[in-house]
Amino acid sequence: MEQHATISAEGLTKIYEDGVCALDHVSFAVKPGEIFCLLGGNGAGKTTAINIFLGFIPPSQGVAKIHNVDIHRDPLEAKKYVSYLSDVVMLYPNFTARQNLDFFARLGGKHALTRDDYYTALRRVGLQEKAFEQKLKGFSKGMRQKVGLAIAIIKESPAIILDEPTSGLDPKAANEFQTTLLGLRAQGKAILMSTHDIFRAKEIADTVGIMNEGKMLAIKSRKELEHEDLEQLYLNYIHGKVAA
Amino acid sequence: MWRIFLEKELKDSLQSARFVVTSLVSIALIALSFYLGIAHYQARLSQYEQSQQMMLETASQQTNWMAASVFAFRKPDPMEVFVNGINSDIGRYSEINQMRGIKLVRSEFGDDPMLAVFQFLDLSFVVQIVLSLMAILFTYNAINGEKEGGTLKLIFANQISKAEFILGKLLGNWVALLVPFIISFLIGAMLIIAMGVEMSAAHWGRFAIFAFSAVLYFTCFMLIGVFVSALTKRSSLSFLILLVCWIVSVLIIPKAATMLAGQAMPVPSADEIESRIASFSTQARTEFFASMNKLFAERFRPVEGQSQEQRDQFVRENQERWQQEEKEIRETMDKKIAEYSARQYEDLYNQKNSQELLALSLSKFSPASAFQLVAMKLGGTDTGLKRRYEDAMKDYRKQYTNFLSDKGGGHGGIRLSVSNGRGTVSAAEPKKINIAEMPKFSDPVYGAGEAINASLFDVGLLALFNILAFVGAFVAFLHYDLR
Repeated sequence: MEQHATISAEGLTKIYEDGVCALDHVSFAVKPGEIFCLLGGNGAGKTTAINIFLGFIPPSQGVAKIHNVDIHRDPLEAKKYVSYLSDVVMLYPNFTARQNLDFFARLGGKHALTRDDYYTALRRVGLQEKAFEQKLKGFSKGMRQKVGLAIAIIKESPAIILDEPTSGLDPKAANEFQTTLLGLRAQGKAILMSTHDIFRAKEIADTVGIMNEGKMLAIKSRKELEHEDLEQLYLNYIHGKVAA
Repeated sequence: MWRIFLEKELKDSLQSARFVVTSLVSIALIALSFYLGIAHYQARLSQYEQSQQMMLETASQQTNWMAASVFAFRKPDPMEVFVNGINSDIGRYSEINQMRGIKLVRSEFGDDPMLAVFQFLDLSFVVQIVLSLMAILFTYNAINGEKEGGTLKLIFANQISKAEFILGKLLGNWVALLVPFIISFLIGAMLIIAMGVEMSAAHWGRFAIFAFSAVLYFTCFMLIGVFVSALTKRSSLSFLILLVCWIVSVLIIPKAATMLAGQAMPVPSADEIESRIASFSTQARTEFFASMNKLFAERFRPVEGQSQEQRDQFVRENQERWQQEEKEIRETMDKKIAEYSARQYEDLYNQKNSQELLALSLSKFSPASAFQLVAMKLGGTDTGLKRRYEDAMKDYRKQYTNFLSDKGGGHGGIRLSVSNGRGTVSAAEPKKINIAEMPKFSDPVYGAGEAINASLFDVGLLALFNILAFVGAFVAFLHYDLR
């Protein structure tokens, strides 16, 4: 039986007031237990798509749905089902990792969590125990990213949206991040991740959407990519050597 | 949901070094201003009591009421502890006598020019400067700081409305600012009690309204901080804009308002008025002497060519009438000068009042000025303080003059000694004046009702500034780009 998509875009278009077309009829779907990587360079339209899914900007055309709820029509209802992690995760430097988690968990509707619940989430993302009650002001980017991922996890939403989550991370931190993400996929989460890291995308993605100048040039499954050089394929699409 | 933000803002502030340092500085400065205010008030009270005692002792040695120097002293009020206002600008006392008018002399600034240069560190000054700066420091990055830190997107990835967020944010910041404020004011209140300042219930009531106005004042700057933060993308830019706003509001507008009012409504100086009066008097006297010369010539015209004896007879017959006539002419001249002088001073008074009103109206565009006016009116150290005392002293002067008249021009008795060649015969020892009979000067009454009524408009203005800044912050955030 065909599974319903948790995250879906249908003909998503965004034209800004200055006339710039940031998204041009983009369609894709992310099913439960699937990692969908939006691959593209700067200005490809990845972040615009994510901003539409989070209700920060309205689409000019098309529909973005989370858990079958149109984000533009009912943003508060749609946001019940999504967690988000951005590339800039400064969080609150005066709060400890646990306090940051507590604040965002309560915003996400989790009011009855215990200290142990927070610790479990922080352990799951691989944060060192001694850092749980330390203020974030001394944390490295990798450590902050882990806390950010714990925030995304603790909401227990069916959809997770990640905007360039591994940018700026060292290889070890990126690897740990990837392991946690695979665990979430195993849990049945639908994960939409934007990245310009081709190798990470190939390694982790079930589906890769190649974007350039607001257009979705190709959507390739893991199976289709098994015998292809993703980097070459990406460059071919970008340079128009392959018809979209 | 706004409660979560309120809690978060409060927790975030309490755990930040910025909060701890600024709070400690504010608490220390406010407590210090209370201490200095109390010490200043007590020193003034002691000086007042000593001066009054000395005056009475000196007067009690006199045998002639006319020889007794009587002064009316301004009694320090406990509200001076919080707001010094124009208290140090105006004189501490005025001599009361029949010959001279009321003039308050020996101001603190006159005695100690350094105090005039550096001003007095009173509570209203500290609130005006420190709390407004603290409010800006707390809120300059309230919105754009969340964006810079990436937390704004994380927050709004949840089921949060912008209204809930901004309400929680404002409340949280407000409560965080309220904490050091309440602590410092409690310390101040304890100092007042511990140092034995006699505050009546009315004084405490005025102090409570002062505290409420201070809350309105820093809330206004806090709201302006959030408003500017919601209009800008970068916290460095919002800080710069807010610093300019603060300088304009606290330092520029109050001074510019006075200068503009001075330009728009020039008022002659007291020297200029005196010079005009002197010139008028000289002219009036010249005219008087000219008319007298003419009169003398006319008077003796009927006896021209007559003998000296006839002329003397003529003078003797008319002397009384002429004296009366001259007296009337002189009195007319004196009255004319007095009327001109009174008119000049009244014009000056009215012009000064109009200029003052214009300056105050212009300065009210600044929350800092509005707060300062509220504080001075509540403290009774506003621009009306001098007028209230001068009026009360004028009343006392009348009372004292009547008292002297009742005492027969003030002669308490003189001692006569006559030598008759066989010794000296002296009259009875003259009696010393009884100072208990002397009317006492009553300080003008400036009650809580009057103080509250006087400050009500400016309190309302502060509230209006708050409403405008709140609406501005709210609307600006509703249109804020969360990306």
